[in-house]
Amino acid sequence: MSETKTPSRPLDLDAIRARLSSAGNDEYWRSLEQLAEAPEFLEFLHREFPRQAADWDDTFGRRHFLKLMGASLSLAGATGCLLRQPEEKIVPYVRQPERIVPGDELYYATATTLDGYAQACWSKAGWAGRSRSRAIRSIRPAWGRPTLLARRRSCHCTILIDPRR
Amino acid sequence: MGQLFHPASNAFSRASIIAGILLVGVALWVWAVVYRSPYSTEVNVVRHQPVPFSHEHHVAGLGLDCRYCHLSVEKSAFAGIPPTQVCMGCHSQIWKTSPMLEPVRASYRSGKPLEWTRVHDLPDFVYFNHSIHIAKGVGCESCHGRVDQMPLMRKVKTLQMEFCLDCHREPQDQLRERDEVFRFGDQVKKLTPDQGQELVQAYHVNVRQLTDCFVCHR
Repeated sequence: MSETKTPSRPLDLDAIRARLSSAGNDEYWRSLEQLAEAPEFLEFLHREFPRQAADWDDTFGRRHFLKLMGASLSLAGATGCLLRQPEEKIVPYVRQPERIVPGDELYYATATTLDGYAQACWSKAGWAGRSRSRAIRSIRPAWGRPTLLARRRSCHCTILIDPRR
Repeated sequence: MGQLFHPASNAFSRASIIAGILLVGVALWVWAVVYRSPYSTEVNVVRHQPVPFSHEHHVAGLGLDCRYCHLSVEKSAFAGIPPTQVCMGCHSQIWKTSPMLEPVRASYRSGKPLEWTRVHDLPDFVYFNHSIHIAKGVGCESCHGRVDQMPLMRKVKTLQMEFCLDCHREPQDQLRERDEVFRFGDQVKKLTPDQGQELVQAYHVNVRQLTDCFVCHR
């Protein structure tokens, strides 16, 4: 943004006409500026980035940065080729609550508000795959208006999950 | 113009083709060997645990049933690791001052669970359900080995895909009567292949479906 925009000069229409009328001219052109080979156009053509683009004012070049990031990304992917699985822990309960079956879903009846009215529904608490922590996985209505509740149930699930669990 | 290559390079080019093929073959062979080696599969590797729990003592010595501690093995995908409460059911009465059991008592006092290291750890892209295997008469021994002879828990099978597929292709070799699922070694009747086949029929094991991808990768 440091440079001021050069004022555009009127196009040299005579030169354009002369070029267009010259025999055997089968060049394609996309603007009159290109055709007239105006200096603004030539500058635009040879600059890598438009004038308005913010300059990368770091001595550490953009391409160099991308090169290093690409290399580190692909090396990070290479960790997937490790032959050994990472060690995992199993953390059981100290006192297991009633009705809990590890690995199985737990259903219970509850209610959720829909348009200001409480709707009876079933809630399913499941075991989130890897961490095996329990989370509300789905809610389905006990009766009435199933589609509306179904449409909203994913956001209901989000509301019910305590992010600090 | 003279010849670019000396006649001797004929032999060299043939040799390099053969060497290249051999090199690829050796590389594949090394990969296969390392992939199946205990370094990768961790077969027979004893992991560090908070308490040196002996299955041998509890199963063979005391005669505890697997389900006393692994509560949900018949009901759920996950066999279940006993809550501290289950350990304390006995160990509040016996060995109650043993220093080895101090982590268990500490866990019960503080409410902070014991953290066991997984010994049998399937990759996260594999679905495995304990209850269905129990229900169809696959003994614990088939995958976990002679747990009643293990002072410290270790893996005896690779639990790699080829191990699973061996049994999913020919389950008759591993099936047993349902009431013998939790027994080990000599306590289990030896079945002839015909009797195994009868069990496949009796337990409605759909062998044709067992090797479908979605059975384990869902």
